[in-house]
Amino acid sequence: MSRPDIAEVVADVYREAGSRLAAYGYVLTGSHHGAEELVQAALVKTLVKRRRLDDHRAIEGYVRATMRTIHIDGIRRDATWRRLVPKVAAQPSPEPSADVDEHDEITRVLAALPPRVRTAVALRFYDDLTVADIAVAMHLSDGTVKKYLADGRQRLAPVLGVSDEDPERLPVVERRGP
Amino acid sequence: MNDFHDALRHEAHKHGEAVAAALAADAVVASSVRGIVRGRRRRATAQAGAGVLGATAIGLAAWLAVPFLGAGETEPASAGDPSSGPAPSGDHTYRAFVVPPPEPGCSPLADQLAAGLPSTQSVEFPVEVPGVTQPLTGELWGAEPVLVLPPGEEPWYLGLDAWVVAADVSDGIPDPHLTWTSLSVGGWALSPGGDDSLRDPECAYNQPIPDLEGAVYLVIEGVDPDALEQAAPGIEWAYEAAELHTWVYLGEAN
Repeated sequence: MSRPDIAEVVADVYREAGSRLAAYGYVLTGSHHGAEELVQAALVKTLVKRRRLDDHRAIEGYVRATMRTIHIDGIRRDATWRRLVPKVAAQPSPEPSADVDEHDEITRVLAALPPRVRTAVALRFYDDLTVADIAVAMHLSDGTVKKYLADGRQRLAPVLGVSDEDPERLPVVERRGP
Repeated sequence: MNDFHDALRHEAHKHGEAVAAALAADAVVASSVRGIVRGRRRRATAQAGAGVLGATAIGLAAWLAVPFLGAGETEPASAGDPSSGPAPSGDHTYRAFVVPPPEPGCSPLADQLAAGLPSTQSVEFPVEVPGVTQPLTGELWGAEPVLVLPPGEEPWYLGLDAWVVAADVSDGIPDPHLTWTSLSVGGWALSPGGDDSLRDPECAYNQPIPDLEGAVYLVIEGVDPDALEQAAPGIEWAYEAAELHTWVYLGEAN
């Protein structure tokens, strides 16, 4: 059996899983542009490392996990980058949210959320991670994650047309000690 | 089922559909393929050198007992601890040492350092590190990038897995994994984060800002085969070149 062509695999993944991956990227980044960039970066990174290309479902899972890693690392780096930008380039680029071209209500509110709040919401309500798992992934305390989730929910619930007082779907799981 | 959860997913799905149309464009597919090919080429750099170097697979214990053939011809210029040699020259050229891959564990690279690697028998070759390297403090374990590459700089190790390790780390993980992230203004930053293939997933994750003492190394998964062949011609390596690690001596913690 011949090996699948990279271009064919890329096109297939975008066609078959593009909307699911982009939806996840949209919640993480709060913009269409950010979602598109994040999906592309994650797919490239995934396929650079992984050469088994026959299971598209598995590739989607890897890409999704890589999106989360890239995004969280990016948030952690943002403050540092802003400080270092003068050392490596003269002209900073505009904030990604300025490029959003779909200004419906949910996009406006999502894009306006602080990145850490938006990310915590994505990990909780899109990835179904527990508070403890989110805390580990984002290098935050459980209490900070809970606060971010409450803030995000309070801001998003009105534009989603739902109550912001629904109980959490998943229990908080105690983290193992060192 | 939770209303908030369902409503968020419903809205996200609508926007995802809109973005998916852009992703399927030929130009986007072509751009992604170019990125994959470039990335694979970088990762393959070390593998391409494997044939030239004549790799022979043996175990770690054997490596430690017989590091490589012809060691006497290629011993680093300075005797004793490799880190006791000259500090980084200031012109972006750093001393680097070839070290075998570690066994996965909770502190795989720190364990190697504690075991005496890189040793005086380790092959040394120069590595260019253009751009900005940060002060060697525990802040590197937090948000500070170990290095920032300016736009246009694409050294052979760009995109490869990397770690930072110091001789004495007061608390937490002594050898955190680093990840490459492109800067929005161009260039790249190498900072803590990303998937760590060397660390056992059962290990406790604890990464406070520690106090550092002693030699600090940037560890890269892979080697520059051309520079290595020049520095140590004809050596028969115990591992595939892609498996070897390059330990770049950044200096002493301050």
